[in-house]
Amino acid sequence: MGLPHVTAVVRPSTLDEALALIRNGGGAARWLAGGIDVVRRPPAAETTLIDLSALPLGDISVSRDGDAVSIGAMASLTEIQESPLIRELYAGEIVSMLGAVASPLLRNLATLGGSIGSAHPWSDIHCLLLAIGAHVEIYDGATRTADLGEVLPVHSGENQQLVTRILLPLPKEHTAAAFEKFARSKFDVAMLNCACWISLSSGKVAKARIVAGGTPARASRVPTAEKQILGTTLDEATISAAAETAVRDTELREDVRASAEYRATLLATGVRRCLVRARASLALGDTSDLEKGRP
Amino acid sequence: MKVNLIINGASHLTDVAPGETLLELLRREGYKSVKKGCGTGDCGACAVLLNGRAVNSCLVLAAKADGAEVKTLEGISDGDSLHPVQQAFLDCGAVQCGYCTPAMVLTTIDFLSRNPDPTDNEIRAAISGNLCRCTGYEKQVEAIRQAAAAMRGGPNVA
Repeated sequence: MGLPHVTAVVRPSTLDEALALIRNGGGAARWLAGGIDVVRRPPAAETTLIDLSALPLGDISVSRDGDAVSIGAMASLTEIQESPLIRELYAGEIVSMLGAVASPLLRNLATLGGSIGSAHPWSDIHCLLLAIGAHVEIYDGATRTADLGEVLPVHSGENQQLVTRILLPLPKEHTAAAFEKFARSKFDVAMLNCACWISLSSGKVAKARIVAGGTPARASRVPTAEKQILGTTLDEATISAAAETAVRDTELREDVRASAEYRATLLATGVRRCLVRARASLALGDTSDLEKGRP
Repeated sequence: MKVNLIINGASHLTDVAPGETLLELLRREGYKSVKKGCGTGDCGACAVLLNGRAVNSCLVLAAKADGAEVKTLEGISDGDSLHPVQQAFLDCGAVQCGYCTPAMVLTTIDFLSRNPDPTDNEIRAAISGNLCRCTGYEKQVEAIRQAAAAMRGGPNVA
């Protein structure tokens, strides 16, 4: 039988009811969102599953402040891919990233909240969302907003909080993001992924985030590489230097998917590709002309 | 625990164990078109339509499907007249051993309902979660292309 150790599946209808169930359940209760990880990697100690599908957490809309797109934690990856709001963000970069996450069948099941809670180190979603500065709304009796990196994985035993929505800041003018994934096949788990987010001011990079994931550790920013591109026009030399720095300052290790050496090549290539694509979408493509036009 | 499922349009009130999967429930109830392959969501042989979307039924707990509409291959033909996707699979020889076929047909129905005029690349991406170990997928892609054309033009639009 599927999960013989599971003794109850309950479906709360309010956030408070859900929270009470997980708190009273101690270590024996677990959130059930899309359910993929719960069924594939069943932890025997978790005998009560709290099915979140009746909670009103499926909508995708512009947030109340109007400065972010808010995605309900129970929205499926397919629903997010199909959302016109998400399609428009960052020239479709989020949608194309999702298009290579697992298979369409799994994307119909997987939820964004579940994906963030599962915190797989190879997560393409985590990598790009970290780059674009996504926040999460957490309910733990009160609603608060936290950085994406602050969310504790559900399997860490610290699961007495509920991710209710994910907030993607609406890109301002002269802002671009790019994502690259390297995998054995398009839909496979990434051997390595990386992403960048660039914001320009007066034609120069004013803010930047560069993220490396599946290293094989969880995605994280590379501050030294970010600093290196500030104030530049993303010319060739800057891009090459940032790619080198990213490799130097990221701890790359070997696992079943790739050697550390191969990951170094992938990361250098990935950072370069991301920055070149961001440069193109920011119309910084012809840097030589920009250089000439400057006094 | 009791769950209520609408399977192929008919309401079923059934006893399930809390940890039982939708795949196990459906096969126990006699829907043998639903196949168990890997049991880990990789092969797609167990796909059914859950509220219209193709999902791996091996990864869905029956309890989580409570109240949902489930469609299996048994529920898609109209009496003796085949669904256009079934007909296209037959016409194109897209079936060899047949183990992946029910799920492949259901996945196609979900896909074409949202993308009625797909490119070959979109078709390949759409069935990327349905593994077939007999064919090279060429016949399935051809069948899906033909089914899409039939459903766009024909009177039997599902």
